[in-house]
This record gives sequence, structure tokens and C-alpha cells, in this order.
Amino acid sequence: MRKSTYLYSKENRELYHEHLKDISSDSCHFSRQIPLFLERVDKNDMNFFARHLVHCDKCQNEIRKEEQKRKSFINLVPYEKMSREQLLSLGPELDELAEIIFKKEGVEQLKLKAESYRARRQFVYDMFISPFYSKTFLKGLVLALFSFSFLYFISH
Amino acid sequence: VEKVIKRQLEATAKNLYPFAYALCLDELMASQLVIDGLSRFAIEFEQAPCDENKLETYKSLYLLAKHRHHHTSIKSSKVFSSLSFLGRATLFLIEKEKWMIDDVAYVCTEESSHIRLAIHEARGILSPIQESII
Repeated sequence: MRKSTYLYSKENRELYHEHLKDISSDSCHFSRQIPLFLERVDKNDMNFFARHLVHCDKCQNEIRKEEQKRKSFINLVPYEKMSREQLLSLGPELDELAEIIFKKEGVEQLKLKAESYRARRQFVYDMFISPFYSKTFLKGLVLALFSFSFLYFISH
Repeated sequence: VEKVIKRQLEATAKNLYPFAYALCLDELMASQLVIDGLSRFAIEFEQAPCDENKLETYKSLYLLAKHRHHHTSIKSSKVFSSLSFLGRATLFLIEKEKWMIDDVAYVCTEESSHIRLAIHEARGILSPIQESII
């Protein structure tokens, strides 16, 4: 662990002035927050720093440098895509795996299908065959047809 | 249904392969790792991998690779191979896949602070090499 030093004490006066020179000449005091700022996805989290960046030329230069650095990192990280031959060679193993998943997931899907079929059959039964619903439904249908034909004859 | 599952598996294998390659830096080992990772996922969760359980698939692959990492040695001349296992995983997911640190922490089963440290260290190792390239 690096030890921190108290810059405002008398013993560290020279160090303090050196530090001040560093800050005033090379970079802005806030530029050390740039890596943290670039790491954030939501830049509004660091609202103060975002506003500071608009006015500070030193920070803008630093941020440009840091971004360039990060872009060049990307080239050092390999991104190997799977070739068609490799995918074909994995074919039998993927088939086996699909079969295993199908046995577990397929049964669930069949159960769902059966349930939906049962629900549809129940709906048809309720509407047309069961005495209470069918009577209500048919009465409604007859009433709708009657009113439609009545309105049709009036309008023509 | 079986065909749909196979298509899903193929798509996931394609997506996982670059990550597997970054972890072991060998084509044959990477494809084997993908298959084993998918099998492990299928057995554990009893479903086909899709976008909803993307993190889980990456996690099962990462954990398998971590186990194997102790038994295998990487013979690669690439600069990337000089990084630690965690460094390779985090740098790949953040720089290439543009993932958030919390997701990377979940996949690598580490705390976010450890992930930040791993990225910082990895960048520190790569930066002198990168400067020499520039």
C-alpha cells in the first residue's frame, strides 16, 4: 500500500509547491478522474465532471489521449470467430445436446399444447353446447342479426 | 421444436466461441470448451440457451475454463497470453463485448472492485507493449 502524505504541513511545504507546479503546468487537478469517467456507462452520474470537461482544455486533451489508448487496446485483445468448418465439426455433439434439451423442454411444450387445446375445446363447448351459455350466445346472435338487417333495410 | 433448439445452440456456440478463445487461446480447446459449457448449462438449467440466460451460459463456460486453466499451459506468442486468467476474461468482456462491470463480476463470480482491479492490472501490463507498437 502506498502511504499518503499530508501536503499542508510545514515539513512538506516543498513537496506541496512541487505538486502545485505539476498541477498548474501539465494537467488539470480533475484529470485523474478521467479513467473513472470513461468507465461509467451513465455519464450523468458524474455531472460535475461532465460540466467541467466542457470548459477545461487540459482535461479534453487527456480524455482524447485516454480514448486513443483504449482504442489501441482493442487490437491487442483477440476476437476469433468460429469458422463454418468448426461449427460443422460440432454438429453431432450439438445434435445430442439438442436431443437432451428437447426431451426435457419438449415434454413441457407438449403439456402446454395439451392445456391450450383443452381450454379451446372447453370454450367451444361452453359457447355452443352447454345449455346456459349456448342459449345466451344464440339469443345474442339472433338479436345482433335482427338489428343488423333492420338497420340495413332502413338505410337503403 | 428440436430444430429450433439446435439453431439456438448453434447461434449460442458462435457467440461463445470468441470468449472461449480469449480464455484458452487455442482453437481446438476453445471449441471443446464451448460444447462442454453448453452441456453444463443444459444439465444445470434444463433449457436451451437464449438471450435471457446469456449471463448464465457465459458463467458456466467461464467456470469450466477456470477449472481447466490450472491443468493446462498456454503456448502462445500473443501478448494477450501474458495476462492473468481473470485479466483476459475481464478485458475481453469489457473491451470487445462492451459489457458493464456488474455483468462481468457476475460471470466471473467476483466482486466489482476485484474486476476493476483486474482490468487496471491488465491494462497496466499491456500499455508498455501498446506504446512500443505506436
